Amino acid sequence: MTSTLIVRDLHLAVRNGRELLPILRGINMHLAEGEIHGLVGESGAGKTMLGRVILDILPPTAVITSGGVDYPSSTSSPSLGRKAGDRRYSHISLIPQDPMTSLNPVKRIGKQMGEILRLAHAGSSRQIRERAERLLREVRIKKPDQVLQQYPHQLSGGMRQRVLIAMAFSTEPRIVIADEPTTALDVSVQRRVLRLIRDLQKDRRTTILFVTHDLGVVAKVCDRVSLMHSGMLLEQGKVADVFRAPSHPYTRSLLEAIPRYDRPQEKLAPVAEDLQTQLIREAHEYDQQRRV
Amino acid sequence: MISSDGSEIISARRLGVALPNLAVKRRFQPAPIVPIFRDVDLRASKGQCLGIVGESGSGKTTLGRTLVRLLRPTSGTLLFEGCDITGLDEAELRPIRDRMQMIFQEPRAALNPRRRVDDAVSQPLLAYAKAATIREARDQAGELLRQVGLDPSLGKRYPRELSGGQLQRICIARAISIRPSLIVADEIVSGLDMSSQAQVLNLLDDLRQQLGLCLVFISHDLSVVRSICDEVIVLLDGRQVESGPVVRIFTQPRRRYTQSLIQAVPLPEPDGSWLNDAVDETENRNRVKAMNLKGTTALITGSSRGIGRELVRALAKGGVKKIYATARNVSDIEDLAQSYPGLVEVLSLDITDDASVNQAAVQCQDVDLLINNAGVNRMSGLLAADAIDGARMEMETNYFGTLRMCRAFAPVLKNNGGGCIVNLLSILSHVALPLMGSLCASKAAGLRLTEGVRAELDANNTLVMAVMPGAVDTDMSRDFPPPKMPPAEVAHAIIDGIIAGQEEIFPGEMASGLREGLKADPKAIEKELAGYLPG
Repeated sequence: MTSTLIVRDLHLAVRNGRELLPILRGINMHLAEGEIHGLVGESGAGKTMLGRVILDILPPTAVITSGGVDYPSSTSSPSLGRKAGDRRYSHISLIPQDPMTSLNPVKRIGKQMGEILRLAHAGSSRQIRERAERLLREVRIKKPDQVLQQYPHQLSGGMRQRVLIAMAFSTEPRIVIADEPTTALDVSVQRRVLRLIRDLQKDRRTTILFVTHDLGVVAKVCDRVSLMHSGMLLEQGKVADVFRAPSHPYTRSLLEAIPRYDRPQEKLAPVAEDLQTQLIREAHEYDQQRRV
Repeated sequence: MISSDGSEIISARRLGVALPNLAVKRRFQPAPIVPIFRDVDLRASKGQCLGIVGESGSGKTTLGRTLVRLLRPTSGTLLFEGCDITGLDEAELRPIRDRMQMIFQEPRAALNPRRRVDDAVSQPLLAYAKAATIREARDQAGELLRQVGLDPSLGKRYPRELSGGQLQRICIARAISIRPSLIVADEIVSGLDMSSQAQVLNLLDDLRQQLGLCLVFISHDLSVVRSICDEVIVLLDGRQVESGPVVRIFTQPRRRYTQSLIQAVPLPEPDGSWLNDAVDETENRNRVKAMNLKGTTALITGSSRGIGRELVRALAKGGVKKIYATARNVSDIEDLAQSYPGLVEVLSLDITDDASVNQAAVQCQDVDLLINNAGVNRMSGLLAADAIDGARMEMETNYFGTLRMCRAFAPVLKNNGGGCIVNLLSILSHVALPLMGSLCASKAAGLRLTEGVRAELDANNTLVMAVMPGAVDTDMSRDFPPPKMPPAEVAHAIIDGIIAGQEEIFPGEMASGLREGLKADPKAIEKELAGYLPG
C-alpha cells in the first residue's frame, strides 16, 4: 500500500493577539493510494483546518508549529508557500461544502470551468470547451452545452454540486479533499452525488479525504475512517472494524447519537457532557505537557 | 386519524398556493402563476408533532410558511384553533400572530448579527406585550435560555460568538418566548452535527411535551422524522404523496417515492452496495402516484380465470399484504385461498349487483389497490339476431360493473391514502373489431370511464390505470385466432405499471403495434380490422 499523502505529527495553532491557540494537536495519518478516507468530527474538531493544511490554503493567522505534510508520490515539492502556477494545485483539489457560495455568481459555468482547465491543460479555447463538456457529461449532466452557458443561480443545488465535482476532477488530481460535499443536499440527491464521487474515484484511482460529520455517509462510502475531537485524532481504522467494534468511547457515543429509522428510540443520546469536557481537558493537558 | 376535538390546532383541507414565477417574467407582462403545492390535507393537535418530508423543491418550506400564514393560500381552507384564517389580512391576523411561530433552517441568518442574543429573545416579549418593561423581558429571556439548556450569561454574547447548535437553541427560546400553540420548524437540525442534532431534537421533544406545543417539523432526513414525529406527510412536486402515522409510513410505505426516500437515508452500517442502488429515476415515471406493492391490499374482480387468476398469483409473489380474490361463485376460487393461506381471502361478488358491490366495499375497508378485471365477451357483432341482449349484458358488466366498483370503492381508497384503480380494458377501446363489435363499444365506454374517474380522483392522488392488451389467451377470446399473449404476462405488465405509476399500458406486441398504427394512420387500422367480420 503506497501512501499518496502523509501527515506527520502536525501541530497547528491560530494566532490570537499575542497568544497561540492550538487547533491541531499532533495529527498522524496517511492516505493510501486510491482509498476514500473519512475524516469525522463535530464542528470545531479541526477537520476543515486539517483539510486546509493539506491544500495549503491556510488563513494568514494559522501557524504550523511543528510537523507537516508530505506528498511522497507527487512530483511537486512539499514546501509550503503559494506561487502562481505551483504544480501542486493540479495534484490536489477540493470539492467544497456549499454549492451556493463556491461558484462565482456573475460568471457563466463554462468560463469558470475554463479558467481551471487552462491551469492544467494547454489547448485552444475550443479544446478547453470540449473538455469541459466531456467532464459535465461524466458527472451525468444531461445537456452540458446548455449548462456551460448558464449562470450558477440557474442550476439546482444538486446540479451545482455536480459542476463543482467536475471542476475538482478536471485537473486529474491525485488527491481530492471533499469537505462535507453533500451536507447541503437532500437525501435522494445526496445518494446520487455520493455514487458519482465514488465512480469517478474508482475510474481514476483518486485518493479522497472525505470530511464529514455524518457517520452514516462514512459507513457507505469510505474505506477507512479517522475520528477527531478538539484537534486530536481519537480513532483510526478500517470502516468495517471501527463501526463493528469502536475502541474509543467517543466513537461509541457518536454512533449512539445518530437517530435511526430502523431502530427508533424514545430519546436520543447526545454525546454526554462529561465525555465532551473530559476530551477537552485531555487536549489541554496535552498542550501543557508539550509546553513543559 | 386524529379526532377533531377541541385540541386541534391546525388543519388544512385541499390547501394550495400558487405564486408568480418571476424567473420567466417578460417585461410589461404579468408573471405566469405556477402552483407550488396543491390539495394538501393535514391536521395536527395540541402536543402532537406532524412531519413534512420531501426532496428539495417539493414545496415543504412554502407549505410551512403558509401554515403560519406568512403566505396566503390560493385554494383550499386553513383552520387555526378552529378559526378559518385562509383569507385573513395582516391586521386581522395580528391578534393570533403570537400563537404561531416559525423557526428557520439557518440560525445565523435568522438572528440580527448586531444584537445580543438576550435582546433577540426578549424582543417578541415586548412586541406582543408579554413583558411590561425591558428589564422584565430580559429577566424572562434569561429564564428562557435556561429552559433551552443554555447558560443565561450567554445572553450577553453576539450571534457570531456562538456555535450553530447554541444559536438554534436561541431561536427555539425566541419561538417559545411568547407561548405559541403552533411552531413550524423548518429543517432546523440539518446544519448541525450529530451530537448537537440529538440535543436540539431532544430539547424540542421535551418542550413539546411540557408546553403542549403543536409542532410541524419539516425535514428531508427521515431518521430524524422517525425519532420525533407522530404523523407524517410526504410531499413531491407539490403533491401529497402519502400521509399517515409515522410507524405505518416507515413499516409499510404505500408509495414507491416514500420507500425510495427511506432507503436513501445512510444508516451507520458499513455497506458498499448501498451506493450501487442509487439510480437516476427515469423521467417518464409518474413519481407522485407510483405505488409500493409491499404493504398494499388488493381486490381483484373476476379472479376465477384468466388474467384475474394470474394477477392473484403475481401479486402474491410481489409481496402484497393481502388479496381479496373475488368471483361470482366462491367455489371457483377457493383453491386460491388454500394455495396462499393467510394472504388470499375469497369473497363472493357480483359486480352487476348494487347490493353485492356495496357490501364488498363495507367488508373490505382496507383496500388500496382495486383491480377491475371482470368482464364478459359475447363474441357478437352489433347487428346479429340477439345483439341487443348481448350488448346490454356486456355493458352491464364491462361498463356499469366497473363504474359501480369505482363508485363504491372511491371513498375506501381515499381513506387509504389514494391508492390505485386498475381497469382491464383492451386495445379494442381504441378501434372496432366487427367480429366482437358490441364488446368494443363497452370497452370504449370503459376507457372514457377510466379517464373521467382519473380526473375526479386526481385531488386524492389516486393512480387510475387503463390496461389495454391485444388478444390474450383466455376463455374470453377463445374463438380469436392466435398469436395470443399468455395471461401471466399481462399480469406482470400490470404490476410493472402500478410500480411505475403509469396511467395507460399496452401490454404485448399486438397492442403496442396497433397503438403505433392508430397514431400513424387510424383509418388504415380500421380498414384492416374491418376484414374480421362475424359469422
